[in-house]
Amino acid sequence: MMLRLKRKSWNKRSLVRISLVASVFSIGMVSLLPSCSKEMKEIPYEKYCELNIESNISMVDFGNLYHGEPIEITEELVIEGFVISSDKHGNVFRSLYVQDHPHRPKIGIKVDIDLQDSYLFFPKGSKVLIKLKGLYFDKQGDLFKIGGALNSFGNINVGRLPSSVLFNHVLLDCDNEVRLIAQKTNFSELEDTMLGTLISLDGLEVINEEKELPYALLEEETIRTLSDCEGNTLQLINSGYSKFYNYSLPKGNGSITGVLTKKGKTYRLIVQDTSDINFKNESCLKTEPLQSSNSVLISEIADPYNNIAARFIELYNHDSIDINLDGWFLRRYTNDNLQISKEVALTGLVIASRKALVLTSNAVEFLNVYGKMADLEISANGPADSNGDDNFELVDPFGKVIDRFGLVGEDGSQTNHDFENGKALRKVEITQANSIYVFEEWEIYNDNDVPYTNNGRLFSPEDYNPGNRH
Amino acid sequence: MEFIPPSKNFNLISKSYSKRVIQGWIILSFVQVFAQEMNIDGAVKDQSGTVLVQKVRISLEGTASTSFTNKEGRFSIRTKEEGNKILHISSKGYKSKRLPLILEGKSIDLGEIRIENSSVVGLEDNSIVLTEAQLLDNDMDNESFGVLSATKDIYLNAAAFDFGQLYFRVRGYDSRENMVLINGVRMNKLTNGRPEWNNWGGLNDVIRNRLFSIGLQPSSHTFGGLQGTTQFDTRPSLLRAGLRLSSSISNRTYSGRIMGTYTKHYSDRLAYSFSASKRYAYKGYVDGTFFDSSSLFGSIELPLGSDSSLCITSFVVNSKKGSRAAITEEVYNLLGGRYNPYWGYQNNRIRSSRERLIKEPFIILNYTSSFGKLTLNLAASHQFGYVKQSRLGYYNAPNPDPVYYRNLPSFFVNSPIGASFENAQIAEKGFVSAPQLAWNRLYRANSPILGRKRASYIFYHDTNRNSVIRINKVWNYTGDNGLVLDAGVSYEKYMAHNYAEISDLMGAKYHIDRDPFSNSSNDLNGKPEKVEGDIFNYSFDFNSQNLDLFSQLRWSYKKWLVFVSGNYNWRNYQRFGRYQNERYLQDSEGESEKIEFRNPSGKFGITYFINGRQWLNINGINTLRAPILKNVFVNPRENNKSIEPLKSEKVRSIDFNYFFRFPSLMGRITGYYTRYQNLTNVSFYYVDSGLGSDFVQEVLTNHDKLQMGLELGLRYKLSSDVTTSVAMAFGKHVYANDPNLSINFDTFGNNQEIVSSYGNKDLGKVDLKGYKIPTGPQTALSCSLEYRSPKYWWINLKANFFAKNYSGISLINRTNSFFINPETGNRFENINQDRVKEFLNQEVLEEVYMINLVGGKSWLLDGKYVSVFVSVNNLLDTSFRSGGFEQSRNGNYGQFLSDTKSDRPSFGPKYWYGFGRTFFINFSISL
Repeated sequence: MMLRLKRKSWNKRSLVRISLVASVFSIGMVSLLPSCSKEMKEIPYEKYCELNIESNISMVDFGNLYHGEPIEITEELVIEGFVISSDKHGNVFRSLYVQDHPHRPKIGIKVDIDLQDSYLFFPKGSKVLIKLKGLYFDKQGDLFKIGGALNSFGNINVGRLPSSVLFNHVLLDCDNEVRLIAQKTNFSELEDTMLGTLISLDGLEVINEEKELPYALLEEETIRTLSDCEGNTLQLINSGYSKFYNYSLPKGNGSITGVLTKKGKTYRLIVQDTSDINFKNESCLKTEPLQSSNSVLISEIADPYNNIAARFIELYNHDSIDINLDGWFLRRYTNDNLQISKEVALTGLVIASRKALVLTSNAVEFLNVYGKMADLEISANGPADSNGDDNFELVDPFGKVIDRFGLVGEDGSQTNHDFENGKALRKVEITQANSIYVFEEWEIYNDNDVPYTNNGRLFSPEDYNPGNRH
Repeated sequence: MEFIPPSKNFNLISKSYSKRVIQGWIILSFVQVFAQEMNIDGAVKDQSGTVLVQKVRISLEGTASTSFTNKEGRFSIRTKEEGNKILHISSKGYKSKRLPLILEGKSIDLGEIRIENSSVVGLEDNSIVLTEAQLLDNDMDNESFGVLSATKDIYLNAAAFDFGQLYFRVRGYDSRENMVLINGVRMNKLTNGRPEWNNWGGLNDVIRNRLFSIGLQPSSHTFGGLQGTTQFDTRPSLLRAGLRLSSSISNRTYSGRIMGTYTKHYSDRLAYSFSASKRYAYKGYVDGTFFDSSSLFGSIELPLGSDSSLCITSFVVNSKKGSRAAITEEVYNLLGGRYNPYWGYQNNRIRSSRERLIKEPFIILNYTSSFGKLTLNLAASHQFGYVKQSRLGYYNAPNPDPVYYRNLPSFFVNSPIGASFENAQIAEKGFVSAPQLAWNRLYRANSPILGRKRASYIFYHDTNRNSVIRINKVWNYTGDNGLVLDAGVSYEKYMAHNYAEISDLMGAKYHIDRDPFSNSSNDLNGKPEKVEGDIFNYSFDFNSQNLDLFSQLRWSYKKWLVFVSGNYNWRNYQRFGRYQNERYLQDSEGESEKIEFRNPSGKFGITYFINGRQWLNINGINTLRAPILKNVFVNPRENNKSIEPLKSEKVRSIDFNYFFRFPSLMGRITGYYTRYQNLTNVSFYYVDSGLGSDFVQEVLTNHDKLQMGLELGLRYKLSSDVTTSVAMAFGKHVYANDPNLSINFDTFGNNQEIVSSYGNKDLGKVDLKGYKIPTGPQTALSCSLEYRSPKYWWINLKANFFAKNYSGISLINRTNSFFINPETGNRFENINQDRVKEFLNQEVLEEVYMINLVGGKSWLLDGKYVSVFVSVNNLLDTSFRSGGFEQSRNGNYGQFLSDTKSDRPSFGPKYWYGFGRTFFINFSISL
C-alpha cells in the first residue's frame, strides 16, 4: 500500500490552512470543552440551621395546656428545647427526648418520630425549636409526648411523626454553643417533673442477682435493676436491639446518666450507651460469698406413671446452715449424651438448713397434684422433667460437681439408675453428697423389671412426697 | 425522495437555480414496439451543473439493471425491459431521484439530470432530538429503547419520529439488534451490544450520509443485526461544502442548541470538515433533568491516488445529563408526571443525584481503495474515555430518597399496626410541600460542626473507563454477471476498568469503605478510610476480545436477486478483580476463568421482481451468538462467578416483504417472525421473598422469546403538493417458555433473615409463558397529511394511536416461592385464587392518541440558504404513560396481600409518564 500523498500542488496557502485547522482542532480536543463541572460548593452551616425562628411559649406553659386527653395542637406555638437522647447506639428508637434547659430543666418531652439514626440530624446536646401546630399531644405514663397521629380503635393517639414533616416541625437552632449537663440528683429528689429530663445519680450498682447478666436479651426490651447502698432501687430499661445488648452489665458502683421515665409507680432510666455508666467504685451491696457445701444433695427425682406434668426433682440440705445457691447449677444429661443437655442456674435460691427444695417443670400442675407449691419452675426437658433414663449433676459455684445421679454417657434404661415411671429416692441415712453415683445410696423404682431395683409403677400424688426427706 | 409525475412534455432541465426542487422531465420517443435490447443514456450533474466528485448509481427499479456514472457524469443502462419502469438515481450526500419512464424498445437519451445536495433541512435533521429523549432513561436497568434514525422507509420514518415518544421498539427489538457503523467501525458496545448514540450526539451535520439496510437485508460491510445495519459515512468529500450554522430552541431534552459545521473541498479530492455543537438545558422537560453536551468533530480526507484515499476522523461528545425516575401512581397523583425525585436545590441551584457523564472520544483511520471491481475498506479505530453514573450512597443513615416508602402517605395507610389516615394526611402535606432531595440535610448529617467525621452520605460515580481498539477490513467485489461478493474481518479488543469513585464527601472527613448491610469490608487490602477521588466499594476489570469473519454472496439474475451470507464469531470475556472483599474471600480478587464462545451464523434472502413496480422478498437468519457481558457474570462487582449453564443465544428470524412502487403510491408490507432461545438475564434488587429478605441477583436462564407481527408503511400522493402516509405496526411479542430463575446473594453477616446458607437458591421455573414482553406499544398506527408548497414551505400533520403497551412484570413473584410463608417455610394457608389471579395479571397501559405537527420554510437570501423548522409534539397535551414495571419487593403472597389491601400499595408498580406538549424550533443558515 503506497501512502504517497498524490496532490497536484501543495501550495503554501492550503498547507497553512490545513495546519491551522488541525491545530485549532487539536487544541479544542485537548481542552475538550470543559464539562462545566463547577465544584459543588460546601453548604454553609447556616443553611441547615434556623436563625430566625424563636419560641413563643415555654415548654412548661405548653405542658399546662394538657387537659387529660390527646389533642391536636392548632395554634402557632413554638417551643425550644435541648436534645438529651441519642439513637446512635440503638437503645433509644425512633424518639427524641427534649428538655427545656441545658442544665436546669423544669420539664421534658418525648417526641415520637418515624426516623432512625436521628442523632445525625439532632445530635445530643443540640438546641431545637419545635413548631407545634399540627402535632398531636398527649401524656403517656406521666411523660408528655408529641408526634403524629395514631389511630387505635377509633381513637386518636400520639403516633410517630412522618419524616417528611419532621424537619418542618423540629428545627435545629444555629446556636450550637450550649453545653448539656445532666442534673445531679438522688433518690429522695426524684419526682415527676423530672420525667423526660437528663439526670445523673451517684452511688448506684447493679443488684447482685443481675450482676452477671447482659444489658438485654436479644430483641427484647429488658428491665434491669439498680440499687444504691441503702437498698433503694431504680429500673434500667435496655433495648434488645441496641448495639451493646449483649455486653455484660458493669460491675462496681458509681454514677449513671440517663433520661428519666416512669412506668406505673416505678422510675426508670434510659441510657444512650455504655459510657453513660461509670461504676468506678467498689460495690457496696453485701454480696453473699459464694458458698459450697457437701451436704446439699439430690434427694428425690420423680417420674410418675400417671402424670408426666407432675415430674419433679428435689434437693435437700443436710447442713446446719442455710446455703445460698447463687452460682450453683443443676445439670441434666439426656439419655446417653456426653454433653450437657440442660443446665439450670439456681442463683437466687437459698436452700434452708435441713429443708428441701423442689423444682418442677410445671408449677401449676405441681400445685394441683401435690397441693403445695414448688420452689422453682424450670423449663421442660430439663432436670425436673425426666422420663427416667437421664443423668444429673449438681454443681457448686466453683464448678465442682458436688452430687451425681446416674452415669454420664449411659442411657439409664435397664440400668441401676432407671427410674422410668417410678422414682429415684436418696436413702434417708445419706447425709453427704457424692460426686460418684453409688447405687447403694438410692432406692430406685421403675417398671422395667430391672434387677436389684423396685419393680412397679408409681402414681402421683400418693407415691411421692416432695418437700420432705423421707 | 422526489416524485416526478410522468408527462409527455418535452422539456429539458430548467435553468432555474432554485434550491427547492429541480424539475426533471422525461424524453420519450415513439418508435419500434418489439422487445429488443436498448439503452437508457444520460448524464448526472449536481444542482449547479457540475459533475459530481463521486460515482452516481443508476438503476431500473424492479430489475437487476444497474450502472454507474463515469468521470464525465455520463451513464448508460442496457435493458430489454418494456413498459412502465422507474429509473432510480442515487448518490451519497445527494437526494435520490426517481424518474418514471415508459419503455417501448427504443433507446432513450435522458439528457442532463440534476440532483440536489441533501442539505435541505427536513425531518432528518431532527431525528436525533427524538432519540435523545429516549436516552434519558438509560439509568433504568433492562430498559433499552429502539433508537432509530430517519430513513427513506416510510414505516421506519414514522417509527422514529412519531412512535418514539412512547419508546416504541421496531419489531420489539432491543437496540443491540441494530448494528451501527461509523466509517466502517462498529459502534455497538461489547458490554451490552447496544450502540451508544450519545457518542455522536450533536454531530447531526456530519452524519447525514447514511446507508441503511432494513431488517434482514444484506449490508455490504457486515453481517448485520436483526434490525439491519446503519452505516454512517462522515467523509468530508461527501459533506456539503461551506459553512453551515444552526441554532435551536426547545423544551424537550435540551433547551438550546448551537451547531456549526465547515467543510472544504479541494478539486483534487482533498477535503476536510470540522463541526462543533453545544446543547444545553438547565432544566429539561422533566424536572431536574439538566443537559449539557459539547461536541467536536474533525476529519481530513487525503487522496492517495486516483482510486484510493485515506481519511482521519476524530470526534468527541462530552455530555452530562440528569436522569429521571419512574414513579408510582401514588406519587403521580400527588405531583404529576414531570416529578422527578432525583434532584434537589443546593445553594439555590438544581443538583441532581443521578447524573450521567459520557466522554468517549474516537479516532478513526480509514483507508479506502478500489482496484477495478474490487473495493477495499480498512478501518482502524481507538476509542477511550469513560461513562459515569452518579449515585447518593447512605451508610447507617436514613434513606435520602424523597419517595422512600416510609415518607409517603401510603405507608401510614398500610402500616402493620393499623391504618392511620390522619398520619397519612400529615405525611402527604409534608411530602408535597417538600418533595425533592434535601441536600442541606445530608450535609448536616455529615457536618463536623455537629461532631461528625465519618460520612453518612456520599455522592459517588459508578465509573467505566474503557479503551477499545477496533480493526476491520472489508472487501467488496462487484462481478460482471450480477454477482457481488463481500467479505470482512472485524477485530475488537475491549478493556475496561469498572469502579466506584468518591466524588463528593459532602462535608464529611472520610468514608469508611464497608458494606453497611452485611457490615463487611469491601477492600481488605486497602485502607478502610477513603476520601474524595478514591476508588471504593468495588474495582474490577473486564477484558474482552471479539473476532468476526464475514462473507456474503449476492447474485442478481433476470427477475431474481438472491443473497447468502455467513459469519463466524469468536469472543471471550474475562474479569479481573482488583479488590478482595470480605464476603467472597476466594472469588473476589484476581482473574476469572476465560469464558469463550465460538458461534456461526447464516443469513439468506430471495427477492423476486414481479415487475418494475412490485417485488416480493423473503429473508431468513439463523444465528448463534455470545451473550452480552452483563448476562455472563452473576455479580461482577463482588466476585468472579459466571452463570451456569452458560449458553450461546440462539436466534432465528424470518421476514416476508412485499414492496410496491407505483408513481403515486408506494410502500411496503412486512410480516416477521423471530424466535429467541437460551437467553440469560441478570438483574439486581432487594426482595422480601417467601424465603427471607435480602439483596439478590436474579439470574434467569433458559429463557425464550417470540416476536412476530406485521408492518405496513405506505405513502400516497394525493396531488402534486399533498401527500398522505400511513404506517402501522401490529406486533405480538411474548415470552415463549417458562425459564429458570435462581437468586444469588451473599451470606455474610447478619442479614435480616437468612434466605439460605448457600448463597444461591434455585427457585425453579417462572410461570412466564404467554406474558407479553414490555417492548413499548405492540400496536401503533400513524396517519399523516403533508402539504408542500411550491413557495418552499411545508407542513405535516400526524395523528397517532398506540395500544397494547404492557407493563414489565416481576419474575420472582411468578415462581413457587411466592406462595411460601417466610415465617413458617410452608405454603400459605387459605390462598385466595381470585386475588392471586388479580395480581399475577399483567397490566396493559392505556391507549394513547397523539397529534404531532411539523413544518418548515426555506429561503434563498443573497445566495445563502436559510431554513426554519418547527415541530410540536403531542399537540393536544395528552397525558399518558409510556412504560411501567412491577416492583419485586413484595416477594411473597402474604406481603403482597397486606400491601395491596388498601388501594395505595407501598410497593406498587412504577411508571414513566410521557411528555406533554413540546416544541422544537431550528434555524439554520448555509453559507
